[in-house]
Amino acid sequence: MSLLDVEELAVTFPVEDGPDVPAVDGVDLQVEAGEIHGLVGESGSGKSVTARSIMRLLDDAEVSANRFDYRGEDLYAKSEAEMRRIRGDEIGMVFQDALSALNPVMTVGEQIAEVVRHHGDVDESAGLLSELRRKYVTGTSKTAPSWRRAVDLLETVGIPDPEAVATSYPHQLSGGQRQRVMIASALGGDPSLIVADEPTTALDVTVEASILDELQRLCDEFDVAILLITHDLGVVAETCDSVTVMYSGSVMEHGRTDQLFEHPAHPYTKGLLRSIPEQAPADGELTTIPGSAPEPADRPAGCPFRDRCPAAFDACSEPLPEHAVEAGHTARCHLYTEGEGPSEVAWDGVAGVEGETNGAVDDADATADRTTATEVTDG
Amino acid sequence: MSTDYGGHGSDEATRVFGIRVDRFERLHETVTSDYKAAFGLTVVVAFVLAAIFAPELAPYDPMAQEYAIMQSPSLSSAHPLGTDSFGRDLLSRMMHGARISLAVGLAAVAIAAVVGVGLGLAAGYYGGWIDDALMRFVDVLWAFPWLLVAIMLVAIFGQGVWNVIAAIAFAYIDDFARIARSEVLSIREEEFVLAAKNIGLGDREIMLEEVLPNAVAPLIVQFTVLVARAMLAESTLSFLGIGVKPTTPTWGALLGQGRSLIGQAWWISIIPGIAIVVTVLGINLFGDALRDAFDVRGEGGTP
Amino acid sequence: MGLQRYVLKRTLQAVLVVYVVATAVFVAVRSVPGDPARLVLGGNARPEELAAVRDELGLDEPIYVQYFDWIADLTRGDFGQSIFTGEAVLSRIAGAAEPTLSIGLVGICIAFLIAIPGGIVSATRKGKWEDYAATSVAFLGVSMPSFWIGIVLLLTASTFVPFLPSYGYASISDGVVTWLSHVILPGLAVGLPYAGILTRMTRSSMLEVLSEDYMQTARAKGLPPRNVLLKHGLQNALLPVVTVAGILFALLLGGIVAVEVVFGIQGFGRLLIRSIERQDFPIVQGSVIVISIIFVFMNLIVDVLYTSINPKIRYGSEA
Repeated sequence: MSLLDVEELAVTFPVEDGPDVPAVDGVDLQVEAGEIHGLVGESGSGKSVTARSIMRLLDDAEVSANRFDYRGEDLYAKSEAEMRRIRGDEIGMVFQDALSALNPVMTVGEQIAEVVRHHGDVDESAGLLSELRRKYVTGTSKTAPSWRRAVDLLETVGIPDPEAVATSYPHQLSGGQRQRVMIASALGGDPSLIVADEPTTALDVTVEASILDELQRLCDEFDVAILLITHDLGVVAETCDSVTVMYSGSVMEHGRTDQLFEHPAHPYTKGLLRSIPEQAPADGELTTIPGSAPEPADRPAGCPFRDRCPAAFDACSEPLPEHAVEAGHTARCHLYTEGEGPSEVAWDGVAGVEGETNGAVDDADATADRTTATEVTDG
Repeated sequence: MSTDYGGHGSDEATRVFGIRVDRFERLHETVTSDYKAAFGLTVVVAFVLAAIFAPELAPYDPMAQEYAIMQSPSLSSAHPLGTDSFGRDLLSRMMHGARISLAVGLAAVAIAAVVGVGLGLAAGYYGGWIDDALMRFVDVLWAFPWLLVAIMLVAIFGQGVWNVIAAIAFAYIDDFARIARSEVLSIREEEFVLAAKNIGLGDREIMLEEVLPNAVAPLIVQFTVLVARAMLAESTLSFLGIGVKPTTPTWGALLGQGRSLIGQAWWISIIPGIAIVVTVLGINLFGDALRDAFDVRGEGGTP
Repeated sequence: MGLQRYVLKRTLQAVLVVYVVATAVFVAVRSVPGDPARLVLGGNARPEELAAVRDELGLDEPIYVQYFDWIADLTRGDFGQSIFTGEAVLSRIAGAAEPTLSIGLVGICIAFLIAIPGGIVSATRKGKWEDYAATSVAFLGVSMPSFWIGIVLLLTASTFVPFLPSYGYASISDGVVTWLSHVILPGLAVGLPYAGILTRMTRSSMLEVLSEDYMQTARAKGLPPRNVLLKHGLQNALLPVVTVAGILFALLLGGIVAVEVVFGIQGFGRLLIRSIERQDFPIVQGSVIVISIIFVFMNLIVDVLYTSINPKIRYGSEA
């Protein structure tokens, strides 16, 4: 049984004086225990919305799904109180911009300690009055178990001098440190799944690499699954065991990372892989997918990628089929339905992705073993 | 503190005095649908009309004393709002008082606006030490409670309308300066300003013709709101006897005069008091409607 | 810079501003057309008296000597004597200060007690009746002059709560309950308009905070809503409110003075008004300076308070 099993998720945002926005339209997502699963897509693909729907943080939206199970239990059947138990305790979340996601008037240590306290692993009161007293009157005692645990977590996520950092405020830390703090606070409740929404997008490359390493290490050590949301295929190649590719509210393809990179089946995936700088042929030009993603309201019927796809044909206006490329690897594209259209996709001017890759696919293989560990200095 | 009213002068919407025409439509919509705004507008209009046409509309001469009917209660046939202890008709006095209150409010806020906006524009536009110096000056201004200034002026020059105007204007300069300055800062680097500079328009022209029109909306809202506050301030001063001269019938003064008679002739104090509250409330409501229509985000509800 | 250095710097600035005010007063008095001595003594002074005052004020001496003496006197605490009682101005003012301070204090407390919970409820229940009610009350409060509220309270209180005295003041040394009973109505009259503004400010600040990312993080941690609101949101929301509260102290003053007149309280405000009526210039002048000192230092306290609760300013960026 998958840790997280979502089937036919649809999220719609009602809009004043206007048509509702169907941000997510029929998404399937499965995350296995202990794996790192990448959720990839451009801006506007609906990946962040999907992530937030897992935590039931979307108050204004209408969410529907055939199945939305965590550990076999329907998340959307739970009461808000039960959901609060799950948040932080079973499922942790790491947000993109750590500076705005961390509370500016609380020390970093306190922000982690409160998660620890709240999830009852330590023998300290987490009631409203005690929390308020801690915040406004006395501060958290440095010897309290929740504080000690916070310091330990800071050390675990690779922050040097954790004692000092714990008493700092978010604005006093660097971007990389803040992101590690976010990760530490997500770990505070000892969750089984961490949803990381573009955790490295706002960081520069060296820092990004070290954070990603950190995530991999934590996944191994703590056996926590990570749903890693990103727009960067390079990140996926480096870090993820399996991948779901989203476009404009729907899933285009999903499977294990090595499978996807070696045998991409969907034209969109191929186009994405083609546009990674490392993928381009040595003497060719950098390529992009022409056009831009449609607004949710302007999505064409059937496959949302129709208008930009070089292989689009009549059947593409029909609802998306599922095509099993190989075991565990599915593409949703009409090209593969028997007796229809071309069975090969060629992007103009550049030979198919197969066989011309460098770097990325090797990384994908490495991810499968996860034995390579490049040491990168901390950011 | 930045305001957002749907784009600055670089878009093609038609504008009247710098405010996009569709904002007026929104205002119209708000006023016709929201009863609070409608009430506000009605009050404002009634007040302004009473003030302007007081000499024609008032049934009696506000100064005419009729000893025969001193302190007649309100709702008597001849004097709907009663008379004061000198036999002067309260309704007429109140209508004339409206005039003066309105004039004082407008004058004080207008002066504050001109000076304040001038300072703010200059500070924001030129930046550097001018900005620092001007802002320091403005800071000192707001360390000064207006009451203080009023007191000094009265102590030296005696009572009178101009003292009140000066004191109140003094207190509001900093409000306008701040708004103008922050508007300028947010527009200063926009393209159309730089374009104007390139054409060779002088600083003053740029400020007046390019920058100022975009700042009009928040300034108008602030103006309205401050007129209400000015009227409150003037009423307090007159009530205390350190505002206008004793015979001038502003509402605050009427209230002050009636205070000692509250037992026998309660209407002399209560009615002008109600009038003050209703009028100020109306102006505030209207100001709020303006703020919504013109899409101005104020500094968190300083009314 | 550390908190202590900041406090020191602001204090020095404050003192400087006070001297600037004193200088402004000096200039104002000297630049009035006519004779400053007449100003001090009032219109009916006799020539000998005028001459005496002129001598005392050193008006025949060069202006910089006058100025120097003036500043020196002020620093020593010598603000002149009342024309009517001959009493030293400063001690006269000090004697009348207690009632005024009491009313001010009660007013501020009432204002905060209404505004902060009111603003929070208003923001969290935006659009619902609680919001509507709170906003309307705030609006009304802001549209009513303090003295009017005082008058209304006087009239209605005698009907509904007759045990509350409607006149005069009792010092706190006469018993806290007595003191409170005298001070509560004037305090309410002063505090309500202030509460109105603060409620709206708290509401809008809270609304902004509620939409901030870190509030979502707190929810994502599974914390109960009350914790999220009060522990994570409140302090952030209060920061701008504190700033505005300080700026608006000036509003209070006008109210307190008027309210003292309404309730017949022999406080500083009353003293001020009567001194103006009687043209007791030294007291008026002294009062102006005292008031500015109070205001400058209140702003200082608010500034320091703000700095100490805002870690971004207090600790700066050390990364």
